[in-house]
Amino acid sequence: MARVLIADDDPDIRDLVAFKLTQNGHQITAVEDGMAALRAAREQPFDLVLLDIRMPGMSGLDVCRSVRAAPETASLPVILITARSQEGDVELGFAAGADDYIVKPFSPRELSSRVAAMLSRVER
Amino acid sequence: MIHLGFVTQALLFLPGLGLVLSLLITGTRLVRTYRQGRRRRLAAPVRAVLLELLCAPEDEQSELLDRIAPADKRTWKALEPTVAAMLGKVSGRARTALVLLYERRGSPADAVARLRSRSAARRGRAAQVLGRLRHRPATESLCRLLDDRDREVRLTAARALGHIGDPVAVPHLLESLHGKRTVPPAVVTAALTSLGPDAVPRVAAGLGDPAPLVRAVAIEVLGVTGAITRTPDIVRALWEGPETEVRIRAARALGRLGMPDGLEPLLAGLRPGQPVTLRTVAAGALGNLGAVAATGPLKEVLGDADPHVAGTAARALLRLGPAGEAALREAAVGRSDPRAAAQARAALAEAAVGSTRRVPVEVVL
Amino acid sequence: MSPGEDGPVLVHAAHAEEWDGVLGTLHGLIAVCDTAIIFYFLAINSGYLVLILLALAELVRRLRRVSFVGYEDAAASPFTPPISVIMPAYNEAAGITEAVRAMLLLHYPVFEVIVVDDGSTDGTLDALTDAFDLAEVEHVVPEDVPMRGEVTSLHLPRGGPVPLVVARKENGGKADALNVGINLARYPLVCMVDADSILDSQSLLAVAKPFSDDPLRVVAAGGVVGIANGCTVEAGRVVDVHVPTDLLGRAQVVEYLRGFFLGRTGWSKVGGLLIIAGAFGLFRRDVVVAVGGMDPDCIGEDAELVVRLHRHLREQGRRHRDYRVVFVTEPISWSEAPSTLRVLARQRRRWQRGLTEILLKHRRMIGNPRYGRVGLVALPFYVLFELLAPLVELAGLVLVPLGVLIGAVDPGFLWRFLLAAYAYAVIVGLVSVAVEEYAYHRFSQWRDVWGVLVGTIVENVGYRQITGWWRLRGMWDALHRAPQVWGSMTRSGFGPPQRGRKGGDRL
Repeated sequence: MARVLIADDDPDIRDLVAFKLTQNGHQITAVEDGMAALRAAREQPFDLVLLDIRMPGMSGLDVCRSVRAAPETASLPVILITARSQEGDVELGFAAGADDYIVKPFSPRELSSRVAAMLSRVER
Repeated sequence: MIHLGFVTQALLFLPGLGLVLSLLITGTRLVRTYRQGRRRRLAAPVRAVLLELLCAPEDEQSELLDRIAPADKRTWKALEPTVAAMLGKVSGRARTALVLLYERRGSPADAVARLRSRSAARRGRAAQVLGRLRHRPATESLCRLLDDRDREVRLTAARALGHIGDPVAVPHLLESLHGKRTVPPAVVTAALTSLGPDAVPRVAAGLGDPAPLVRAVAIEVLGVTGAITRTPDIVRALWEGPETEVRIRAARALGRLGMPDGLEPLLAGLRPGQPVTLRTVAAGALGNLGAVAATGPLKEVLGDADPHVAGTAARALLRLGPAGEAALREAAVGRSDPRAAAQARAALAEAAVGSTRRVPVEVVL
Repeated sequence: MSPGEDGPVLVHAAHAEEWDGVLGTLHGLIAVCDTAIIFYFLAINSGYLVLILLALAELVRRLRRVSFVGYEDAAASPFTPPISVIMPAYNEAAGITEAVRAMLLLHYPVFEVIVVDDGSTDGTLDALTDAFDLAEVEHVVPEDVPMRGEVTSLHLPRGGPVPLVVARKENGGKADALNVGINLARYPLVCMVDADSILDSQSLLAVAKPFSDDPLRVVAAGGVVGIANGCTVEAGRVVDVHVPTDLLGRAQVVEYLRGFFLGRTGWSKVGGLLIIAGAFGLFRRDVVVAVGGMDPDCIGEDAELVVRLHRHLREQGRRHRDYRVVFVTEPISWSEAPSTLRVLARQRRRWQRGLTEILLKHRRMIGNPRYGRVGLVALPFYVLFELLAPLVELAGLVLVPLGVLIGAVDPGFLWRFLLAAYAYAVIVGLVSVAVEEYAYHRFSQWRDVWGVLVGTIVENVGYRQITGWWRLRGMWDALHRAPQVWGSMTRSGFGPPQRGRKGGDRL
């Protein structure tokens, strides 16, 4: 079991991710914007963060950068959720310090295997 | 002149109207709030099942479908927006489950019937649904809609055909480029491109079309889908085509295809005397092509009178590897042509900071 | 309103006989003027009403088609035309970083952001350099449109795919900064935005849609500008829409709704859109280059560009159905509106001055059938109801009481009439609010609805009159300095370059 934070302004995606990962036995905290995500990441310990890139207010990239900048969260694994063909997002994401990314539209199965892979990589 | 009586009546009537309008404003708001609340209440329990369906393994899907599909009309209406939105957000098995759900509800059949509706908005919505569901049997009806009276309906039909992916649609899509009721080339190109490699032979047939726009779009699509076997045809289009529009697309396609046969015609397109847009695109395409043999000619146009041609050439040289960069360095210190030197220095400076300013090959709308 | 058969009521026939000579003429003149003013008042509000109803028809159409607008496809397609966003900035150090960050995160497949620092003295460039790790690079700026202030340096972000270009130039005014941006733009569409505008994340997709739907005809598209005062803004996005709590703000919300949102939607529907707000407009680069870019001598350079586009295209023989200037109703950019009378006064003076200059500069088009409905309908409407409105309104404030005083107008009739006329104007305002509530219902809470309702009254009683005075002064400014403005092109500008200032000076 892992504690996972998901931030996405789209309630459908948020609920879907939360549902799938809960099914896999993880403990989910879902928030709808970047500010809330950053607050949550600072206040509680997480094993993994899923961030949508284009959120109103603070973007996923900004959150990712801030997470990396703070020493206590610097090593927190971050997976970005990006829309297909938004040019440069993937590069920007890696530049901001993300560990992996998922492209929308995605299949729930792919999501859970990516999360599992990331978590096992961190354990090792 | 105006009668006093009329004014007095107006004076009584207008505040009344004002009151009615105020009530209308609050009324619409109340009704909307109420409806939203009801919809949420109705959808909430089914929505949970929907999420379960999306995450379920294959063997459990049909049981979950049995639970959602029989929902009454009101519940379905409340849930459908979520289902439609999800369709664009998930892929793989989860998507298939949603399509099955729509099929159980009979939506594709309804939508096909609505394609003949008298209301343009309804036809458009139906086409959109069919595209989103990738409902292959609707291909033929959607092809007919490419000639619809309403422009937005035609556009939606073209996009839907792209999503569905049946290559049968190719000639219809190409035909929709000209005539009285047209679909814009960018939309047709996008649709044809998403049909994938199966469509290439049919798209290539468009190379011989008398309409220049059809040839232009066919060339563009072949370039994007990487149909390298068609390079000779595209080369011929660049050499021979009298229409600049066709030649520009041919140049761009040759850059994308990256075959050595593209070099000669692209160099010809770069020469002074050719239309400026063609020269710019040719310069950019030579960068994409990456042939070292282009170094000399590209270096020559660094001092071109047109700054767009020169600027693109400079950035194209950067993509030719060490030879190109050496050429730029040489030009940057050259005294004979200050314009070329400035262009070269600008491109080198950009490269030095690691910025990737794209080479603009998409100069045409 | 049929003409009365049993004698005019407005003019006191009985009294008129007692007057003769000069006094009689004056009496008659004032009576006629007052009648004209009253009819003018009716006509202007009916004009607005017609525009609002046209807008309503368009909005109903849009709403019915909202499910197949194709934003998702446009956002995912590599064939969506790329956009160069041009952001002129002058002393914007405080907000520029956030604005650029927000701009870079818009939903759109391919676009670049070009910030043109117009010789700021407050470290605007330094703020950007720190935030985006900019490095100065050598530059060559193509001179597709004329520039006045020279580009002194060009800056690019180090080592990343961030599509940002920052140019620093010598101060030359906003229009000149835009021209530099146009020259630096590498994409076929240029989007002009103010450094302090806040864009909704879908706004580029929406404003570009007309170009991809109808690429051969659409030359320009403008978007809705809303008032950011009172709204909740987080990291460069409007999260919750509210109506400001002060009367000035409320009156402006209603004014924007009626004039800028619905009015322009209506004009766009009939093909007579003349103004695209400088705060958010998208243009074909080639067409802008063909007309020579922005006119740095014009105060309202954004509106002037659109009028010039119309003029150029019509003179090239393109007719009404051959090209389109579109107002897009969906996307929204938000601007801070003036919250003090002083700033508002300055803004309105500038606007009216700009309008006067534009109409004088292009006076040949007014009423000229060669320019189709732009010349025959839209421009005369602007002259009659936008340019002359403050003049008539203030003349009314003087002449109508005067008419009562000398007995040219029956006071019993007059008070009733004035009351009815203002009621009519309020009704027009209410219709706008109702249309918005039906179509987009952007205001989030009940108190916002109450706020706009109060706004409709304040806007008609008080606000219009006071802005009328400022607008009159703006007209005076324009006429007063007229010879300078249309004089030789080498003129170095009037004093310090005129700028769009904080407080949403230009919309």
